[in-house]
Amino acid sequence: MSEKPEISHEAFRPVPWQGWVLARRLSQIFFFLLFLVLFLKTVYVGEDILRWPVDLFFRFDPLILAGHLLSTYTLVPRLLLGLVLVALTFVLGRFFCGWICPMGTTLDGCRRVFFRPRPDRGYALRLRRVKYYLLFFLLALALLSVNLVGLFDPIALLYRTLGIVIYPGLSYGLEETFTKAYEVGPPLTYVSEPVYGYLKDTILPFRRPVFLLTFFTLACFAVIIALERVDRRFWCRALCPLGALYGLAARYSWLRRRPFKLCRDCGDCQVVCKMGSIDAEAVPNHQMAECQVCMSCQEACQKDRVSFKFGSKVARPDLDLGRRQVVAAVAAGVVTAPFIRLGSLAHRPDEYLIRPPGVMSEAEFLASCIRCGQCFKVCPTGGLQPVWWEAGLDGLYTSKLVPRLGYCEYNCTLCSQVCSTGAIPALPVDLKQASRMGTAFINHARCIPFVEGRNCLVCEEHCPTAPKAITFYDGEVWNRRGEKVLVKLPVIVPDQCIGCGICENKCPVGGESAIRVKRSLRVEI
Amino acid sequence: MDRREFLKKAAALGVMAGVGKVLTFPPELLAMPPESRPEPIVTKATGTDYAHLVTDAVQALGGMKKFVNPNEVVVVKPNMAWDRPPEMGANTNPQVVRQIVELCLEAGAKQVKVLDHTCHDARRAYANSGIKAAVEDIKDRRVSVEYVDERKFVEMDIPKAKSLKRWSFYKDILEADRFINVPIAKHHSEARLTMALKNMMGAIGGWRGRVHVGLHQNIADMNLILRADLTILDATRIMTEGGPSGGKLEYVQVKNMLFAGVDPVALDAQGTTLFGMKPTDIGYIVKAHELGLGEMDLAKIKVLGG
Repeated sequence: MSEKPEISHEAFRPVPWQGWVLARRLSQIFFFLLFLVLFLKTVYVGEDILRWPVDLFFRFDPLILAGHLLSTYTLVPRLLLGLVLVALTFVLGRFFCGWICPMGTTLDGCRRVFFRPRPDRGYALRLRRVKYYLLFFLLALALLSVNLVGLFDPIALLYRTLGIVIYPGLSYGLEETFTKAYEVGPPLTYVSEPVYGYLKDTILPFRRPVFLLTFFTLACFAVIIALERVDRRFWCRALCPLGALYGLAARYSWLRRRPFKLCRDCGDCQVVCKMGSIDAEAVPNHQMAECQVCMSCQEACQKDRVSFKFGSKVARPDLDLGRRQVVAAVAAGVVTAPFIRLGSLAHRPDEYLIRPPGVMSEAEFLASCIRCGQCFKVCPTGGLQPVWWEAGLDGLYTSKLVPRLGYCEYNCTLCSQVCSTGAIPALPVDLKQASRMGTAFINHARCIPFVEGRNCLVCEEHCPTAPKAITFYDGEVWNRRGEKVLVKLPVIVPDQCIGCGICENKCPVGGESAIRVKRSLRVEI
Repeated sequence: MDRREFLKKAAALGVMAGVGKVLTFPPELLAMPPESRPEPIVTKATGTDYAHLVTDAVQALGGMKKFVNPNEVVVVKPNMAWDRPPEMGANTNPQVVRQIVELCLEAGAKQVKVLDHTCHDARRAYANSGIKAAVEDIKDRRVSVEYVDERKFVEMDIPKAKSLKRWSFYKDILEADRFINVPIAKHHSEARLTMALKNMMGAIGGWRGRVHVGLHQNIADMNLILRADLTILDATRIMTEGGPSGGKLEYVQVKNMLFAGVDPVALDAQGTTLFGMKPTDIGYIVKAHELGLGEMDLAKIKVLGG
């Protein structure tokens, strides 16, 4: 192109709520609300089996399917729903990114709320190949059993940010506000208490969630939001591996936009497009691999030239990823995998790393966990927590039981029900109760009967197995006055102990519990 | 409204709210029954119609109208601390709780709250004990099964206590016009047995594990504050080992019995006989008796009915 067409100054502003754009935005809002409702429904409500298919977004996620398939060679039937979306992408292009993806909606929403509309700076356009390289890198890693797709999958990323930071933060704020109102008392409480009761019944959690890694999680998310200020949908254009996966299919999409080329007299749609899918360099200019069918260009075109229609013989633009770069991305994955594994604690995990119930093999768990955080959300005691580096580099955001924060409820199997890939195996409750997460041991230097010569037995009282895994005998110890006294001394029965951690949770010794659960000798090392 | 006016009004509202707080909730305002020594009478009922047992045992004491007056707020505190089904005998029998609530309603209660500060997750314990469903099945707007609200624990001094000098108690129980304690008789390793006096563990807040160090005196001490108007000891099923949570049917004996009374020490003393024990075997019974909370001498306890 020799002459630069004049671009109307206001074209980067959002298109008004009309026509197809209205439909698309309503779809975005619907799926975003569905995402939130499913999030809120990921909770115990008095029934042992969850009625809602709360992990629906993950079942429809082909990236999760691909990662799981490559890393474990096992097919989880419910993940096959992801193929439906891939098939639809061959027809409709990356409609998922524009119409459904709750992460995309979050980005659109945050951009409107936080940032002033202004033209893109063009970084995302230049970096748009990165998402493909990231995808190939992740899949190459997965092939070597290092399945990290969940760290970058937009659904998992959004879910765990919501679960670890946003929801706990919001509920903390609301709870504190209403508690302060409660402390002030009437007449304020005449208003505040009914509102609080209503919120408690609807959106507020039963017990205030507290999670590890909040700051790090928030920081990662904040960076993605901040990138919206650089370029609209920066994440989707430059980084999102799920978007890249859809892009590979959308290239061949049956639905295509007309005109294929930029009009000579107007370049508005190039600016309207928040995905940068109309590239002056490409031939023809419009690339379905980048387009998310948001319909903004159609609604914005003042000359009514833009339309989306099925079928065309016009050649498609090349997806020029560069053979060398693709090979480099795959090679990077192949080379990185052993390095992660060499340094991995998967071979000998931290002795206090207690995995969720039913997980028998650390390596299998690492390969199939998608780091989504649904198990953190559903755990009724708040005991399941995100892992930092204690399981090795590849253990980030996998789940562990932290008994001091919450123990594993004996009759509960909810974490296995929400786990889309079966990383936490779905076991019937009697098998779950028989599966061993770890083994408790007593620290005699802290345990009250041993140290103070006074009876306690809180651990024994709460032990849920029958017969109990903590028993006691009458033994003589020295009390604080130097007298020999007969007290009930707790003992662990390792063959009975399943490592649920209720003893560690309820132990009245402050700080570090006098009874702690360690990875069992009976769990693989 | 300009800013100055807004600030003035906000300040006025704040002062009003503060005054309102002082006016409506002085911490001394306890609605517990007087500290007089109750008569050591225990009524007993036997049979398999558990609702009937409640009616009979309460009738033998003079009927629910003797304990609950019209327009009163009643708190019923069963033991529903554990995520166990009724047949495991870890929680109070749901039919017993339901019938007590029904009797309170018949007596004209304005509101009946059923609650417990649980050990397992409250939602699981309320649901799987069967008590939530049984009580909500009454379908009366005056009845509510409520989860404990952490904001409602208030710290109190216990003037006559020997060990637990100050602890936090549940406000709704302290403020209720009537308080009915509905324990189940079962085994407990440290306390040996848990019945009426020990059931008060579910009416206190704070770091409850710590109460277990010096448990017997602490239980007796908390009963100085928590004086129930009526206690109904559920022995339809008793747990003889593996307590307090159990988990095996072998631990449970079906006794089809129920006791009622005003004197919790007398009820607990009577309860020990179910397990082939003596009142003096249980530390907190002796300590509660020493504090003047009731009679522990079986010879002096009058048992009515059978």
